[in-house]
Amino acid sequence: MTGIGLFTHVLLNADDKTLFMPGALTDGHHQLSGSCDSCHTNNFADDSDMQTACLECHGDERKKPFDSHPKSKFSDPRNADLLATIDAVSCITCHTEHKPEITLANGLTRQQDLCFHCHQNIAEDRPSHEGMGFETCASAGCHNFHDNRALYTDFLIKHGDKPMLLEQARVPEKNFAASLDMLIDYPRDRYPVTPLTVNQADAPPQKSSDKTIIQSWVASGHANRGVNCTACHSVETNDDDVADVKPGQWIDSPGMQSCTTCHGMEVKTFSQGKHGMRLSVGLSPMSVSMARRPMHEDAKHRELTCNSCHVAHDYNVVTAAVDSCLECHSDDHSSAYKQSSHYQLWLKEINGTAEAGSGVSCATCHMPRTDMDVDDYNSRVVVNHNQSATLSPNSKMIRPACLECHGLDFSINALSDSTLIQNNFQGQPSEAIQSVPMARALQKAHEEKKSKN
Amino acid sequence: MALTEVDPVASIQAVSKPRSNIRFSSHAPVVIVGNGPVGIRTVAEILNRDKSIPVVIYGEETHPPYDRVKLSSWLIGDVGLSDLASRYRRPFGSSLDERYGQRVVSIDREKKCITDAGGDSQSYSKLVLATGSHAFIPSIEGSSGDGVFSLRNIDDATRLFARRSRSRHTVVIGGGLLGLEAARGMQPNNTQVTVIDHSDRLMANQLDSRSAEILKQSLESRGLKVLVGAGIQRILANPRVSGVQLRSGEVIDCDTVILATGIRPNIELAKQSGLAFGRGITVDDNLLTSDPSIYAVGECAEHRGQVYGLVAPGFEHASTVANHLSGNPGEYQGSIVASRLKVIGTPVFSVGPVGYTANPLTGDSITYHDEKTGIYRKLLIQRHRLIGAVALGKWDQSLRVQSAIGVSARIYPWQKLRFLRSGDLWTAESASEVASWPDTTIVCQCNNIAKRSITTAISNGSNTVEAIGRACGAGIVCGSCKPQIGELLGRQDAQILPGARVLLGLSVAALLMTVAVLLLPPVKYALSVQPMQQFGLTLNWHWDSLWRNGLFKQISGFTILAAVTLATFVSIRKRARRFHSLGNFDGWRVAHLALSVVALIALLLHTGFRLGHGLNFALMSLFVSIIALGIATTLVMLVATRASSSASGSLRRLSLRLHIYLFWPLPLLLGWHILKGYWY
Repeated sequence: MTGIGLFTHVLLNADDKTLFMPGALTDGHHQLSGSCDSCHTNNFADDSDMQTACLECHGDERKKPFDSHPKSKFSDPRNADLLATIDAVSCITCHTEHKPEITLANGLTRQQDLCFHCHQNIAEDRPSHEGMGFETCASAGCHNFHDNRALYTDFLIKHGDKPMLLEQARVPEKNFAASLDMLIDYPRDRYPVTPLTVNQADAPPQKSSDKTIIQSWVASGHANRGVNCTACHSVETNDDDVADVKPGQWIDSPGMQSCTTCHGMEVKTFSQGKHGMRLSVGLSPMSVSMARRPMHEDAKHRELTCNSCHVAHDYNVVTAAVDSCLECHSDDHSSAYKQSSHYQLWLKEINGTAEAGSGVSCATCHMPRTDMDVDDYNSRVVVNHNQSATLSPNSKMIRPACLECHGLDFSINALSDSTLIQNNFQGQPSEAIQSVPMARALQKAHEEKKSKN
Repeated sequence: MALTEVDPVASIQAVSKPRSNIRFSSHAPVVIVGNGPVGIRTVAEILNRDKSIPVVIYGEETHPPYDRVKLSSWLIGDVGLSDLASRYRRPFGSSLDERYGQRVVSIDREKKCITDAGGDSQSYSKLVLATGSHAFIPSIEGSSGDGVFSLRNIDDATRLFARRSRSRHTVVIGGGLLGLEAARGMQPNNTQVTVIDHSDRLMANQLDSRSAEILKQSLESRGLKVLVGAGIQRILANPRVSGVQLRSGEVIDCDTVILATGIRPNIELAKQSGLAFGRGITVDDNLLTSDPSIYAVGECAEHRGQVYGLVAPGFEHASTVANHLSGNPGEYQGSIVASRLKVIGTPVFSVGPVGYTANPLTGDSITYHDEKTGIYRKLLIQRHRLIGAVALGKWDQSLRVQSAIGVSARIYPWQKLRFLRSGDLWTAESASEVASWPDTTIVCQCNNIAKRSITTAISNGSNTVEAIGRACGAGIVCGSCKPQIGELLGRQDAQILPGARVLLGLSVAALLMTVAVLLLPPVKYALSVQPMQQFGLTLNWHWDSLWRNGLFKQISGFTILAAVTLATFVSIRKRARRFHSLGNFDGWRVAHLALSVVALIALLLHTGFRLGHGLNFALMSLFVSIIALGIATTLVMLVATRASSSASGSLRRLSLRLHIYLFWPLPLLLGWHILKGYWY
């Protein structure tokens, strides 16, 4: 009985429940090892319960056009019989957790050549594919089972002609300031959008003794747009998350809740990526020591919240775009960044010697500025704080990031070259991926066929 | 002390070596000087190897050979005069020439002949000196007075017998075994007896101070007066003894004094002949003296600086000499002297450096003392090994303790705890299993008879304790080993395990699979979904479906559960009385193993040689451990039914217990494992 008691106690209270797992979690989910319930939502759950749990976090990308094999594809009677061979509508058919031994890239726990099940006769439709092994379907630059948006034939044909470097290589401008009006929740009555001075700071006297804090604030966009101290250092209404704080009461260390009022999309995307996923399931913030990728030893104790990169009061977005990243990340790609031409462009931009939007920081590619729907009627350019969204596989980075400056053919080639990725794109791709030429050949064949007819 | 109850002839068969021809340089006989126990034993050992060898034995006393160690018993009246000699009247055959009452006075080593007191000469091919020892008479004033006795031979005993009825107060000088026995011998007619010893304790060679003190109290309660640490200044005799004066000046009035102050080897004959000597006659590992034709055995021999005062080493000497005469080089390495004595009704057991002369810093001792029963036991342990023991009172495990000291057995902490708690080193159960003792363990201490000799006698047809005694000499002296012999008799018909061959096959199969689980790498998952081309066949099925497919996982998994559950019933069958009628246990045992093998096969299909992760790993380790211990139990059991060894019984019990204890957490882990599969 003692054993059972202890067993249950550990089960319920352990922060890391790896012991109870049949195997370690994948890179995507390992941070959730303390929260079994995030995926195992119901006891004695069936596959559909599990599917619901998957879609809870990954649902947005599993729809057209983001997914080229969405559930709707198999609702089509022409394809329905394929489900008898492989249940392609259920995530866990191909992505089983706790199976490190058979987990391949991108969390695939099926055989690499599983496309064979449905596409075994592909060579009949695409003679160019004759002789290719099914284990190579998902090779870099070829196909992606889910997000194929940068790799499908029409897209390849449409963008394949562009040169390596575009004439007007610019990333989209941020437009948050201009879109302030869209923020319905913004308390305009208390914090009118007018620049504030040092004397207008509304912090209680005993809290405003540190002049450097006031100076940082005054120099920031917050003060410039009427966001006073109490806008962040108190709450408007009673909130479950801060139940012990009364409305209007001063909060010394405001949490992410304070940011959400205005920067909801940033917080939302942050909590979708690896940096913030623990917060979205109610766990403590990720600490650098949890990371499986190489990190600097002296950063292991750090935790990831908004303030980790955006220092409070001045929330410097320039620092956050490069320096904050490199304080923790120590892999080859990160370490090589400052030798790259991307960094040179970034230096020019922040020195003011080049146009805004011409520099390439870490965030430019990994947190690309993306036009997102804020609500049913509005959209704005949001820095996508889900830095995982453009990776795994990296062809997902082509459309939101690479194509802002580069041609498609070059982008595909560059992202397929692991050496080039490792040295942070110093040099030229070593291999020419045949995706664009093959798409063109196919188009030509179609045209010839048409003209014959 | 030369006093241990012995039978010099009876146990010959026990230690007899392969018969071989004794080689002689001439037809002259083997001559043995001395007809004490060791001399007679030497004759018996030689003739036992070859009856045709001419042997001549000389004895100084006119009496036929008698059992010297029983003299005090005769004095008390426990045995009659005829009993003393009875065991020595054995037909040795015509090749033995006995010449008693003939003292050998000189040896002519060049001519290889001896001369007796009557002036007759006898040539020899080999000479064995078994001259024994004599009572040591200290050179104190009055030691030759009228009324001063010693107790060494039958004449001494007769004189004391006559003196006893007249003596009112006898003083015995010397608190060793002989002194105490003599003191007891003088008591019957209400004679007051005082024992005086110069050392600080009684039986200083055998006992530590505490056990000696206990013995002293025990003797005092029987009416003896004991003075230890008291030196004798002189014996007051003019010429009749009137008392003794102690060094303290105190005078003790008495009319009789018995000197029991130790013995000295009889080496005068060897000295005269120019043989090398120290305290005794110097001998090598073949018991040869400095003359290659002359041996010396028993109390007169000094081997590696050691003179043995007990008779058991003398018997080993006799055997070594006979072996050497047969052409087998000597292997005598010295004897471990164990004293197992009965001192006036109190059993005394002593081995190793525990007495007065031993270095008190040698080893650590642990002591058990039960005041109620008067049982006192002390173990001497050096570097975790048993090197000595002393005990007062009955101790069933003393034989085993002696055997353990002989091999310097390791003593484990739990044995120490058991000893401190119960006074025993082994559990009663394991100690009583004579059958599990090593073959070389001495069962009959008196005649130095190993277990092997007794089992041989049993297999040769002896079916009672007495018959075994006649056949090999075990148990006929003190009889304290009779229970063990009886047990050996009873266990002789221990059955060979039914179904042994099937059990062996199953355990070997299980063993192979267990080793495979531990050593073989996991079977790889298939890398492809495409049909597999193998052996000219196209297979659409991949072996990894066993682990990818939930249905297969459940089939293999529940097969394991079923097999384990059914196998567990063997435990219920064994322990729950109500199920005893369900078939015989041997069948159940086979079924238990067969089910375990089924479970193992299913386990291999279930896991593909994977050990798992987290609690699954714990479950797998536990399961494999249980199986391994089960295999160990079976194999030990199978081996034990063929060859007995002392380790097998306890080993089997240990592995079986672990097998069962390890099972306890299994339902929990297995339950969790199954629940987890459905819960999550």
